[in-house]
Amino acid sequence: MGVKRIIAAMLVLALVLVGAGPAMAAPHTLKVWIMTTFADAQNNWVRAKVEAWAQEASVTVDIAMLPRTAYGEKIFASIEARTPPDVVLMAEPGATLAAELGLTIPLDDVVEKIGRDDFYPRVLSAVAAPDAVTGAMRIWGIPMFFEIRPAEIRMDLLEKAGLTIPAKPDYEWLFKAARAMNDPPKVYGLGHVLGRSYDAHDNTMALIYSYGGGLIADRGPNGADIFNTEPTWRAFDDLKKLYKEGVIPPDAVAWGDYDNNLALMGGRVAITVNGLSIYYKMVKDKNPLAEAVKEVPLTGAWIDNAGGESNFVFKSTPVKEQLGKDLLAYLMMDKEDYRVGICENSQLYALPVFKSQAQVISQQWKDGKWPVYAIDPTQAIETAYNSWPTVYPLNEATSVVEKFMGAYMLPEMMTVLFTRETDSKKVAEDISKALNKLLVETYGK
Amino acid sequence: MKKQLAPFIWVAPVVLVISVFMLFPLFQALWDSVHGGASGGTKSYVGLDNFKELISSGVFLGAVGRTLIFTLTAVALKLLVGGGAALILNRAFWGRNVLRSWLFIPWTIPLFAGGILFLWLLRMNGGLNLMLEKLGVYPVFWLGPKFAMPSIIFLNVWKGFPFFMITILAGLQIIPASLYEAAQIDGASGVQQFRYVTLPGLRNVILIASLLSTVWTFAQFENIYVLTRGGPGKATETLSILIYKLAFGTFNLNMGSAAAVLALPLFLFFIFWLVKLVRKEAE
Repeated sequence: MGVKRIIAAMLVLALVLVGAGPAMAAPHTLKVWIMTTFADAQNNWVRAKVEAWAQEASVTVDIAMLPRTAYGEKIFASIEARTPPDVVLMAEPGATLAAELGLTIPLDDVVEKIGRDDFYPRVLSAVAAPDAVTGAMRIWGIPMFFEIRPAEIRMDLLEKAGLTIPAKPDYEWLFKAARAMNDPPKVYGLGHVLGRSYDAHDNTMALIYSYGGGLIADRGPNGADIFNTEPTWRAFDDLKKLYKEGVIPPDAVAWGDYDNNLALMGGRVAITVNGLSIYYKMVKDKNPLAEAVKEVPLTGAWIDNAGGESNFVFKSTPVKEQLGKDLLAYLMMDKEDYRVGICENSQLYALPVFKSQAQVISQQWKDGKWPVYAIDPTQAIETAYNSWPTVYPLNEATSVVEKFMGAYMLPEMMTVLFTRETDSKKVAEDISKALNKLLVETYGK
Repeated sequence: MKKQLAPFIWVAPVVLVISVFMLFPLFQALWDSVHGGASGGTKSYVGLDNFKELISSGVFLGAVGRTLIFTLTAVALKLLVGGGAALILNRAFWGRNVLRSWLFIPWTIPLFAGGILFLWLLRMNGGLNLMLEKLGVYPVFWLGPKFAMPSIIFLNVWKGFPFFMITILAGLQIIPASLYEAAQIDGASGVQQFRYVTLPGLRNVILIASLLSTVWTFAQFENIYVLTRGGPGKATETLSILIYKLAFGTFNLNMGSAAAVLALPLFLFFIFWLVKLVRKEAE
């Protein structure tokens, strides 16, 4: 074969490949990422809704179901490389970062379409941020649910220890109960996650907040100085003491998000603090311990993910952006279906973002449908802290906390408290400095 | 002209593939390593700042130290265990082929699956502690600060010794039997035969296998990530884990690239010796 023929053949092949690429793609293919939660029923409901919408709208959807361990890395990598999907559902984190970088579209009109008045205002404020161009406050994500984080307590062991739940249980009481129920290596008192995980961040921050501490006070270069204060030192000292005493299992420093669930379900710990995904799983698996567990929200330390698990749409073409918004509205327009699919299907691991549906849940609780809750679960919505991307005492969403939490910086940096018994003040100072560095990188000096 | 051009055209696809999948990422990593800025935001040139920070914070050197401990210990143990197994399998005995296949199984198990297997074995309420509990022994935190490094080394040795076993076994089988006969006639003992016949005969096989294994072990990621994710703390944070954590854990691609660029000379050092040895062997 002559050289000219080879060159000609290669050119033809290249042209065919270049030309065929766009031609092969369907006209309206939406790339949808769904971050899966621990409740399969929720994931299945979301997927089914997306597929039903795609069929009705004659749109091709390319769905990727991503476990939360993989999602964080993928979304940040896609933002860095500017290759994000079209729509992200049930996601934590990413919404605020993408909004601050001007990569997503505002969703105020979707909120209006679903019914702004029915949303709890705090859930919308958790995903509101200034527009990168105009500076006006806009909504960048549609929050899917509230996730409260009560203490899961083995009532049989609590009774055995001669204790009862007080009217206003707080961390001080929880630690006392954990010590009383501690019987290692059979049962450890408190399953506090200390390894690289979202739970370690959430639970430790819940403790710090309940002691009166904070994470970020303002967006300035010293905004995180508040973290290096007495409440944080005290929280670290308390955790160190519990770990040293053997009340927290020794392997908690290596735990991920699911390990405290496994420990409670396997009877290895008497108490843990988590979303109700644990209870959902215990009921689903017909775990005999489910009946012995009570969900006890702690006073002043309830954390939820208002705005954390949210849906958002990346900028692309006007047609795709509109389709993305249509999908988001479709998911939540039928509020009864939403309540059953997202909330009830998950054994109330997820609480509704709509006031109307919270009233239904509240009535159900009063009628005895959800006995596992020690109090009316919808009360928690009124009193809980917003977790991320909202941060205290700033009380606004910021991508800094998304990066901080998404990178597991808190658990990663505080492990030395337990593995090397490092001074609490030193660790708090290091974390505070790392946060300040992130603030400078994000908002400048 | 045609004859001069043809070879270039034939190798063009390979050059293209290497350029796209190897050279481009390499240059991109070099570019990233000298730039900085917020994740997802605008990047600016920072010179050698990333390298300085990595070295001055002790993060990089700590990871190098742990990588060397992990690599050298694991390779030495794999050589010992694999070599020992090869010497046993080189003798004729009943069931030798079955044993050979059985010992080779760890090498065939995917890295990720091997990691999961050991995770369920070594975790606090895992198989090993359950067995110890039956014997009345208090559970041991195998993946804790004290034992995490030995645990990942143990997994690596279990996974990698069959490579040494098979390679050394092949080497043993090409040593002429006449050399052993001659040594026996000269009155050499078993140890002397091993020292003066077997070892010299295996010299290059051992060197090449060791160097290959060193390169693979040095870059090991999957097993460590599945088993300990580099923890607890930094107990098992080797270079590959550090690079991954910096780039995708803290979403700082620039710092991750800087760590990768700093690690490059170490990899090149091993590869240089490997290539040199292979070339010498070929000659």
